[in-house]
Order: sequence, then structure tokens, then C-alpha cells
Amino acid sequence: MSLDSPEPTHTAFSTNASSSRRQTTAGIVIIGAGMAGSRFAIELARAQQQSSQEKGAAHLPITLISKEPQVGYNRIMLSPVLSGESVFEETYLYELAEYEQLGITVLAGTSVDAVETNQQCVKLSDGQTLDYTELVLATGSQARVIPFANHDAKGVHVFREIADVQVLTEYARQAKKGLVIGGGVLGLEAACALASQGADMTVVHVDSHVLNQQLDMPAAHLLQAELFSRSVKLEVLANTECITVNDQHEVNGLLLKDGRTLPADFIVMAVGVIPNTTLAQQSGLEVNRGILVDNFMHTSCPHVYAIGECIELDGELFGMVAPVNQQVDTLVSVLKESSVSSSRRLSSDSRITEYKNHWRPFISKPLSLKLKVSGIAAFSAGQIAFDDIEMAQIERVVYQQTSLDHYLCLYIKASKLIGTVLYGDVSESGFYSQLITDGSDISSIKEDLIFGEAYCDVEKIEAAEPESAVPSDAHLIGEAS
Amino acid sequence: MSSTILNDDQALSVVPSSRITTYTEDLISPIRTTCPYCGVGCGVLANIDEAGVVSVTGDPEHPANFGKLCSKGSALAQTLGTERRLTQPYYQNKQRTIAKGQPTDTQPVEWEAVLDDIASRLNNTIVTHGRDSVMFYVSGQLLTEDYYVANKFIKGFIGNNNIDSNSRLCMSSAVAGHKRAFGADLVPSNYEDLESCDLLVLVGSNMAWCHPILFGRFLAAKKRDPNKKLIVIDPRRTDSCEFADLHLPIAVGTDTHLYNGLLHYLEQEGCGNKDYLKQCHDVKPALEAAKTWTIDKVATACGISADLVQEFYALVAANDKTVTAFSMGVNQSASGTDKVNAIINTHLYTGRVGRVGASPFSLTGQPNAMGGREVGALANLLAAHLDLDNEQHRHLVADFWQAPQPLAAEVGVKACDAADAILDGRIKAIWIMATNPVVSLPEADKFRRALATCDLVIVSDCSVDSDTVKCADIVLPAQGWGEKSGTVTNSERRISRQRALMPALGQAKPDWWILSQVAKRMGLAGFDYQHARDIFNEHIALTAYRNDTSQDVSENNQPRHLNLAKDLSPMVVGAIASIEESPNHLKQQNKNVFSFSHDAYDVMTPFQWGGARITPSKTKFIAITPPSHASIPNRHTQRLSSKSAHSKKNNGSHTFHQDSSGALDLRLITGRLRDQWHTMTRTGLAPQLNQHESVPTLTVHPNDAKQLGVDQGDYVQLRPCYEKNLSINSQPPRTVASTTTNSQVLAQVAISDSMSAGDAFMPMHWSNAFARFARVGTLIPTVVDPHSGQPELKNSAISVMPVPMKTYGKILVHPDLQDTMIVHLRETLLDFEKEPEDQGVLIPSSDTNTISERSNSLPALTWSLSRQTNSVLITLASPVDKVISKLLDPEYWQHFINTYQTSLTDKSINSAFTCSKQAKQLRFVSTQVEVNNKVIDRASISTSKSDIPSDQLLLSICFAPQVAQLPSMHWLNNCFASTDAIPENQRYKWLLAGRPATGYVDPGALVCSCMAVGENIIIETITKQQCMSAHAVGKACRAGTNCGSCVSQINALIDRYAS
Repeated sequence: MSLDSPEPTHTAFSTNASSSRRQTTAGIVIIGAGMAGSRFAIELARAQQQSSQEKGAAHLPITLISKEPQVGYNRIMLSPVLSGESVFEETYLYELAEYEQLGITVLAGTSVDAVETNQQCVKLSDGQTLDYTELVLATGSQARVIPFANHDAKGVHVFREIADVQVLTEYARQAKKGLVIGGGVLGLEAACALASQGADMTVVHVDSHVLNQQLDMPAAHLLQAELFSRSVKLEVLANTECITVNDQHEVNGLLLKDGRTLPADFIVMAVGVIPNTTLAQQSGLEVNRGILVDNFMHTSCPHVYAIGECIELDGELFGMVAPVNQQVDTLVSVLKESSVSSSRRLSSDSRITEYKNHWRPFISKPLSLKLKVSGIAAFSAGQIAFDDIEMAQIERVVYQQTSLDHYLCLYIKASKLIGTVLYGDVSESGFYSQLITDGSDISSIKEDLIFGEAYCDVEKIEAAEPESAVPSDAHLIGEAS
Repeated sequence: MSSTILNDDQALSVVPSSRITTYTEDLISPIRTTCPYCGVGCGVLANIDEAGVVSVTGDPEHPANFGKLCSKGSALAQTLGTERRLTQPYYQNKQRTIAKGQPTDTQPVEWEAVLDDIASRLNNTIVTHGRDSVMFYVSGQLLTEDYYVANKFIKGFIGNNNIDSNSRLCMSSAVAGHKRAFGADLVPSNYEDLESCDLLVLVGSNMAWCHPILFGRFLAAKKRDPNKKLIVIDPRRTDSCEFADLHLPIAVGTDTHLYNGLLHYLEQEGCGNKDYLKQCHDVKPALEAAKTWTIDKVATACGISADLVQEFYALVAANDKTVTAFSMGVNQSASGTDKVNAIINTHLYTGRVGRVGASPFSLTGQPNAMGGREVGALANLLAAHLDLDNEQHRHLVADFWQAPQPLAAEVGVKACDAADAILDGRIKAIWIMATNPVVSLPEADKFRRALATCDLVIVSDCSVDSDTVKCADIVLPAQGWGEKSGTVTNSERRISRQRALMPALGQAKPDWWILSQVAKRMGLAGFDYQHARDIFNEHIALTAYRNDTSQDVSENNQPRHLNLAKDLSPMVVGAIASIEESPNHLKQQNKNVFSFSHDAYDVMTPFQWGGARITPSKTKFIAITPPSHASIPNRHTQRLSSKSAHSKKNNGSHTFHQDSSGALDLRLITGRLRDQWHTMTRTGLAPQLNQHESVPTLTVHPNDAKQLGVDQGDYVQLRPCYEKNLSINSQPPRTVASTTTNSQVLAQVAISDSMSAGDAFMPMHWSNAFARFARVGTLIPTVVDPHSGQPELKNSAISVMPVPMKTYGKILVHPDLQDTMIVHLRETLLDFEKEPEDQGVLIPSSDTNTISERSNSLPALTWSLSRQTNSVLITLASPVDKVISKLLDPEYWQHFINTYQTSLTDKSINSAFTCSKQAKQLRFVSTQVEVNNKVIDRASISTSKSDIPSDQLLLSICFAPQVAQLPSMHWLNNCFASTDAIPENQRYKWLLAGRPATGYVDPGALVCSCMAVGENIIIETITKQQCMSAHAVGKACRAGTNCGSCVSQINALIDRYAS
């Protein structure tokens, strides 16, 4: 992660910081050691280390607080674990030793009871109080549970944590009949993983096709056919009335609004996530659906930041890896120069003015998708759903190879690629998502775009805003098997 | 029989000036044969390798070409495959076949049965409708032996003169002109005259394209002696003009005006050859008729400057050694015979006839038009240059043939009258051989209608791509070039052998055999031929029959110049056949006449009949009255009306007629392309020959293009204006097409200032087999020359209207899929035409007649075919949204290929496409792999590496709103040979893109057909290797080094790209 070199004036400012009186605080405290929190801790520490080597500046210590005993695992890699293709140990984002090497204090299995923003301290479940110079909330989200009747019955699960994986694997091994409510990425991954482990799975989805947020109809149909061939059954346009149970309050089926009951031994709800905002709310931060932040990840409260799935920015929530990583990068740019001297409590506003040169604002980019189901390559990025008026301005370029089930679709608007759906052959996903992210003018290569990067003279095109380009690997995290 | 074979030395020692001899045996391999294309009659050496693969080169020994071949001749071997051949006799439901455009309800039949059936049906027809109800329509592609049997069969035994040849469309005006001037159909000149003349005048001949080898002989001589002059008289600035000292772009049809003026000028300048004129008749009336044609008057009539006329006249007057070579621009005219005689008059006046380097010279268009003339296979000829209107001659022939009844005196039905004769019930059975009149005749659609109504239509041909085959009740497979064996006569009266190179394909038979078999089964005597030689010997005998060279020259064309026995007997003494070798019916007559033995015929070398020189002994001037309205008025101004002539003067800017629909009236000239021959049934098979021009084009002057609002490559619709053609003839033509004619022609515009404003040029080659709407014959009214019966094919009124195409397409198909694809396209069009109310094209309505005549809808989909090295290219366009939405739907093509796949059990087909509905683009490819259910033959694997199965490209389809958006087809065409070079995981993307991802340089449009050199390659030699002359370019990349017919194109590239 290379960051801009600080201006000379900032260097002077940083050097002065060594005389600060609050060197003994916990420094930068991060609540939550999920993908956002742990990554932020590591990236910040690396940035500090680099900066120290260059300028010899002393930086604030970093403390990472994790509710789960496992710190920093890649939640999105749980699907391969569930399908038995991967083991949990492989899901760690960083070697545990790395936290230590970078001097990060990790408080695992510890939760935060309260935040005192006025005092700039947090109260831990073990009774400790921890002062902070800067506080980062990375409290993540939790799986949404729709409160159907009997949603609390035995056999109703979500698919969120390693503990869920362990329980669901057991059903699969017993060849139980399972339903997944929700044909989104997580639901399909869970269904495929469980089916591959021996469960008899059916996906229940309210929309007309699965992954309706990420795939267009033709790609979804190819996917559905593929799921069918893997013995994952599908109920689309299916509205759930309630979960049915037996005498022991154990799941035995799902009653649909059309009157049919689908029998089931267990049910997985994969209907999205809800940001964890309780702590923030109790601490007096402004919260809507998520914790409200600005483009530099500031919350409504000075010295308090938030990143990851718990935040809300301009009404948008973030559940994918790429934007979360980008938020991490933004916050690293904001906080990497923080040192003991930052206790001078400059107001946010003046700090923005002073630091904006190397702060990198977070700008929400079109999202991309990769489905982590072995043997299924699906990818989408950017905008792929349009209303009729919008559709009239869109050019849709399609490539299809029927016998191989390859389907590529490009959505082009006003000489820009604004969205793509790739199914079967995702080899050009990097190229297309880069063009989408960069907002490049593709008029000179439009005729050949569908044939891939090799046919396009990329030297001829220019990114609309080259300075805001995100690293090209940003959307490639989370590989398809 | 080796004693009958003489070697060259022996023969030469007998007649040094002539090359009549027989080849020694060691010269027989490679096989010496003759090119089947134009009348030059080049000698061809065919080499056949151990695998039976034929390759050809020019025969250095042949006196026509001395080893050179043009682009067409060089590509002959490419036409010899099994593709597109007729191999089996069959019956056909012609109504359904005509409707569908592809053979439908066909019923194969064995020869025995079909010959019996034809014999009995012809006999029944004669019994029911009389002798005159049968007609043969034959061809300059027939060999002399075929021709002879056809002519004998109908004139001698069926008993009418209803036999005409497609030579009627080619040189019948020259025949009529020769007969009027020389008393017989004599060509008094030799090819060497082109080398020895000081001035060559080409009239109505694009010799550089149409007779390139002869043109090359002249150019080589001109190079040696730059004082030699070339003058081209042609409404178009053709490629021949590239080398000309003077080009006279006279208005179409004004040749008689120009030559009357020349005769007058020569008289004034005192150029008369008094000695020669002594033996000429009717000199005075001709001079009298020419008298009023002053240079100024000629200039006005011809639409050129008086200076140009003066310059031309002065050059002719100054050069005693002048050859005037004329071709279709002269012959294919309502005043063709007069044109021929106007030209000959000037040669007679100066005594420049039959002298070395000084003669008029008819360049014939067909390989054996001359042979047809010699056997008399035209409705107004007899046989052996005997005269049909001479009773003695008819007796002579009937006697020789032992005909069962006297020969009919009446001239038979000529080609251009055949449609009417069928439609009004005079002809009930027609047998068409080796020609494609549904394409080539004027009012071609009418002839097709006639065939549809005729009781019995028999077509003998070698190609399925003849449109006429599709109009037949009975189709007979004839042998093609390379299979058949016999003789042909070229433009300088030189008789050469065509020899078989290979066994006939399938059940194909020689035309003479088919004819003789039917004749015998009809109970006729005298058709007991076993070999082409038997027929040739009979032909020799007839030319000698009562043709005593010692008798006095009489008014009766006696003795005849054509006396093959006289030509042959002194020179090939040992070759006389034994009586046992003669057919029975000739044994009595032939005793004392020269005859080829079997072996001697096989090794016969080319010879000129009549000797090296024929000097006509009694010659006649013809007084010429040039037609007052020779040309279709430029842009059809109403010049006939004196009022409008007057108003035209006052309103000079409005000299054309363009109505509110945007249609422009133009004058249509038809002609040949450089690399095509006739209706393309043979040249269309040679990939190299389809590169120079691969789509039907209409060439117009830039001003006319501007007037029409069209650019290069845009489509225009051509409609006939038959009624306007009436005005050019003082005599109304006998037939006038009904105005309800649905003739439609679509072509892509080529813009060139080689055209005069108001003139448009369209090639005559395109048939339904190669293009959906490009039969130029449908635009041409039947206006014929009163003397020769030859139709006017280069001076027709048409109306041209832009057709705004909304999609352009290119489809490459594997040759195996060609017919399936064409059927599919035809059905697409037919489906659409069934719903007229839904058509997306609105023709602007107006109350004028012209518009209402045009109210026929535009064709909804047009296409043309062009054979590539590994595939067939189909070029498409459509102006109609509803059709386009079909064509752009990948499902539509998926369905097509699925249907095809159902017929394959051992292959599986994969398809891929890319499309954008918004951009109106589609690309679709299909490949085929062998499914592994065959028993693997280990022996074949060890011998052939190519047995490893890989994807075979079957189909590549591209549609886009602009032609430039379509990929080049060169690389894709190569992929039909092999897709192995494409990485497996990139296969479909590469194929859809139409090129590899990197590192490919497209060779560009083919310029040099012979050496297969593309435009981009030539440009590179010019720009990168600094080649600044055609010679240097040729050295660098071989372009233009064979026949040289592309040199002018190379020069144009040098002009454009040399810095």
C-alpha cells in the first residue's frame, strides 16, 4: 500500500508530536476485528512503520478489540469451508504473528460495553477502561433474520460465523433436507456448499431469478440451470408465509403464500445483513440504518470513525469487500499521520483543510460480484439493472457461447462502460471492472470491447478521473475456486 | 499406329509457314488442350500429378498464346473439382423449382430411361404439333463435334432450322457483316497482325480485360516499337485506354457515324487503294452515303470534340498498317451489322484487308463461336459455310447427310424470338445446351416465364449454378472442360483440340453422345458415332463435299473457303483413317476424302483453316445510313419531340429526368469483368477470380452519383424503361415487354469518371445462382439488329433509384452449407414477400405514370455469392426493419444451424455469438466437431496427420449498419481450412472478432488475381520499398507479372501512394 509522501510542513508537525503528554493511552482503538477492523489495524500499522522509517516519527499505538476469539478471518471464505473445500485456518487474512510484529495490541474475546466520547475512552466487558486518541468502530453487521412465525424454532439458522458453519455441516452430513431462504450470493453459496456435503437443498427466492441484484436474467438463468444440475432446487417468486414446526418446536417445513408447504429439516436464512449500530447509538453517535459517516469515515463525533458493514454513507450500506477495503484505505490515509500531538484536538473541519492533500476520500464505486461456488464463474460489476427510461439510453452488448454456457454482457451508456455481467468466462472481469471504476471513455474500443482486453488498444483510452483510481486488485479479493 | 504420327520437324519441312503437324508421343504428357473461355483460344498445358491433381500453364508451343495465360485461364485448375457439378440425369418439377430458386421435387433417372423418354416425347411433339415445334438452343461453349451433331439432328432430321446459339448474342453481327462484305463468314486476319500493325484501333472492345493475351501480344510489340499507336473507341474509359494514345469516348451506338465520317475523310484525303477497289462492288453508294459526314457533324453525333475526331482520322489515314479490332461494343447493337460494315468499308477503301498488319478483325467472345459458325449452328446458317437461302446448298447438305426430307428453307427461330415462339405456342419442346439464356437473353424474365409454360424443357449442362437448369423438366449432366474431348476454333480460324484430362464425373456425358443417343432412339439414321473423331471426320468431309477447289468462283459462294480436307490432306498424309474406322453411314462417301485416324486425331496440333491468309476475292461495300437516334438519349431527355429539343436549348441545365422518388434515368451499358466469364458457372468456382469484383456493381459518373445522393458502395435499384427504348429504333422492336414487368436489379454503386455522365455500366455475369437481384438481362428490352438478329445489350434505358440499406452483412459458409444457406435466405425473403402490407418501405407516391410503375416494393433482402479459397462469401443488405430484426436475432441463426445439425449424426455443432440490439450488430459463428463414434482406422491415422479432429468452422455471420463495421474476411476464410492456430480457450472470441488478438496484417482486396497479391501488400511495396513503377512492384511482390491485366490498377496505386 503506497501512500503519498507527506508535505514538508506535515513532517515538521509530526516531529513536534513526540513531546505530547498522552503517550500512554491505548492510542488508536479499533472495535471489531472482522475483515474491516483487522485489515485496518494491519494497514495502519504498516503505514506507520513506513512513515517511521522515513521520518523517524513516533506513532500512536494500535489496539484491536475482537468479540470473537478468532481475529481477522475472511468471512466470505466461509462458503468453501462449509463445502469442505477449505479449512477454517485458511480463512485468516493475516498471520497471527503479524499483529505482534507490527506492535498491535489484540484484545480477543473481549467486547465493549460503552464508549465515552467526551472522555475519549471505552469500557470493556472485563471492566477495563481504555483511553483512546482516535476510535474506529468496525462493528460489522449481523445476519438478518426475518421474524416469520417460528423463526426461532430449532433448525433455523443464519450463515454468518464459523459457529454456523459447524452446525450446518452436521445437517449436511446427515443428508438432511434443507431450505435456504434468499437467492443472493450468500444463500446460493450456502445451498451449493451444503448440497455438495450431502444435504438435499432448495433455495427459496422472492424475485423472479436468483442474484437479481448482481445478475441479469440470462446470466441468472444459466446459473439456475447449473444449480439444478448440482441438485440444488429452486423456488422463485416464492413468498414465505411462515416456518412450520413439530411438537418439539423443530422445523419441519416452510409454508408459502401460495399455500404450498415445502418440507425441511432445517432452514438457513440468507436474507442480508443488519449493521451493528447498538454501541454507536448508545454512545450518542448519529445513526440511521448504519453509523453515519462522511467521505473520510468521520462519524458525527470528533475522533470517532467508522468503517465496514456498520456504516452508512449517503444512504448507502456496504456489504462487499471492495468498498470496505477502500474505506480502510481512506481511513489509513486520514489516520496514518496521527501521532501523540494530534491530541491538540483540532476540530475536524480545520484538520480537513490541513490534511486534505494526502487524505483520500472514500468514493462509492460500482460493485462487483464473484460467486464463490466451485466450478461456477460468475462476475458482475457496476450498474446492471435499469428502468425503462434508463434502458433506452443503454447499449447492451452480449456474447454467448451456448455449449460452454458462457455469457458476457456489457452495459454501455454514453461511451462509458457502466456495468457488466460475466458468466462462465470471467477472464476479462478485471479489465471490465477497471473500465467501469475508472469511468473511461471507451468509444475508440467499443466495437472490440466484447472480445476482451487483447483486442482493445488501452493506450487510446483514458480514465475519466485517473487520480481517484482504486488499486487494480481491489475487486479481486475473494477468489472463485 | 506410331507410323501415323509425324514429328514437328517433318511437318515443318512440308509447310514451313504453317504449324499443322501432330505431336510426337513424348509431347503428349503434359496434356495439351485449349482454354474454354474467350475466342483467343489459348493453348493450355495440363499437368496431372500422381494424386490426380491438375495444374495448368500456358502452352509455349501454341500459336495463339505462346505460353501465356490470363487470370481466368491460369485459374482453370481451380474449376475442376467435384463442386457444383451435375452428375446425374433427373426429372424436376420446374414450377416449384422456379418458385423456390432451388431444385425441388427432383427425381433421378438412369440414362437409358431418360434417353428413351426424350426420344419418345420429341417424336410425340413432332407428331402432335409438327416438325417446327422443336427447338435447340446451343452454345459457343460446345465443341465443334457437339455443335455439328446438334445442327445435323435438327436441320437434317427433325426438319426445321430452329437451332440458334448463344453466339447470336456474341458475334452474329460480325457474321452478317462478313457475309455482306466478303460473301462468306470470313475472318481475313491473324493474331500476328496485331504485332505487325502500326496502328491498332479497338472499337467497342475492352481488350485488356476481355482478350488479355492478344492485347499482351500487341503491347509487347508496342514496347519494342513505341511508334506503334493504339486508339480506343469506347463510351467508357476502360483499362485498355491505360495504354492508348487516343481514346474516343463516343456516345453509345454512334460507331456508324464515326466510321461513315472516316470513309468520307479517307476519300477526301485520297487514301483509296485503286487496285484493290477494282474488285470491290458498290463503292459509290457507300461513299455517297458517307458524304455528308463531315468531321463537325460526326463530332456532334458522337458527342466528342472535332479535334479528337480529326486526330483519329489523320492517324488512320497515315497508317497503312492499320488493324481495326472490334468486339461486343460493335456487335451487340441494334445497328451491329451496319457498324461492322462501316468499319470494313474503310478497310476495303484502303485495301487494308487480309494483309499482314492491315485488316479488320472480329474478336469473338466465346471459345468456339467460330466452330459453331463453321458447322452452321445458327437459325440462318446451314453447315460448312453453305448458305441456307441457297437451294443447291440445301440439296448438297441433305444429300451428304442422307436426310429423310429436303432441308427447310425458312430461317428458324432465333434466340431473341424464342420466348415469343414458346409463349405463342409455336415451340412446344426446347433443348438448351451449355448456355444460360435465363440470364443472358434480353428480357430474361420473359424467357424464364416462357420456359415455365413450355411443354418440354430439356437442359444439358455441367453446372448446378445455371439458372436455366432450374427451369428444366429434364436435366442432363454434360461433361465439362477437362472431361470432354473435341475441337474448337479461335478468332483467327485456328482449330485446336480440347482434350480430356480426367474421367467424367458421375454420369456426365459428352453433348454429342447425348444428342446422338436421342437421335438414334428416335429412329434416325446417321448418328452412329463412337468417338468425337468420327464427327470431326464427317465435318471435314462435308466441308470438302462438292467443294472442288478447281471450280470457278461463283455467286454461290463456291468453292467455299472452308475446306478442311484441303487444309489437312497435303500435310498429314499418313493420318488418313482406314475405312473400318469410319461410321457406317460415311463409309461410302468418305473414301477419297481426308480423314483422321483415331491416333492422329488424338495428337492433332492447332491449324488455321483456309491457310494463314484468306484474301476475299469479291468484296462489297455497304452503304450505311447511321440511325438518327443511335443512343438512348442521355438521361432520357425527350429529344425525339421537336418541342422538347427546342426547350432543351433554352433550359440546358435540365437535361436529365429525375422524379420525386429520387430516381435518375440513365443509359445502361453491359459488359464483362476482368476475371469473370459468362454467367460464372465456371469462373465462379475459382476463388482467385472472385476477388477483383465480388459483388454486383453499377458504375456511374461522379455527377450522377451526386445527383442520386449516393456514395461508393451504396445500393441502388435498377428498373427497366422498356418503353423508352422503343424510340431508338426507327423500326419498332417486335416484342415489347409489358409494363407490369417485375424486373428488379440491385447493385452497389461504383463511382468512376471513366464513365460519361448519363451512362451506367453493369457486368453481365450475375445470375440468380450468384446474386439475388442482379440479372442485368431483365433490364434489357428485346431490340435486335435487323440483319443479324443480335440484340442491343449496351444501350438501354433504365431508371436508377437509391436504396437506403439499413443493414449490411457478410456471411462466410463452408461450401457444404452453401445451398442450405441460400435456401434459408430465399425462404426468409419469400416469407417476407408474402406479407406485402407489412413491408417497411414506402415508395413515395405520385400521380405520374413513372412513379406508379415503380410502385413495386423494394427487394427486402439482397445478397450475392463469391467463392473464397476455403468458404463461400455471401454479401447481404436489407432496407427493411422487419427483415433486419430477423437477421439480427441470434436465435434465428441458432435455429438455422440446429436444423442443419439434425441432418448430421456423427458431428456436433457449437455456436457462439455477440450482438448489440441497440447498435444493430450481430456476429455469429458455428463450428463442428466429429463426435467420437467412428471406428478409428489406424492405417489412415498413420498416413495423415490431419485426422486429429479439430473444430471445423462452418459458418461466420456478421451484420452491422455500416459496411466498415464488418470485419475483413481474409483471416476468417483461412479459418475454414483450419482453426488449429487459435488458442482453444479463445476460439470463439477470435472467430467473432474476425482476427487474432494481435499481430495480424490484412492483405487487403486482391489486385493481382494471377499471383494472388492484395492491395495492402502492393501499397507496402510502394511506400516501404519505394517501388515507383508497375515493373518495380512486380519485381518486389510479383503483382502484375503474369497476364498484366491489373497493371493499370497497380499504376493507380502508385499514383496515389507514392510520396
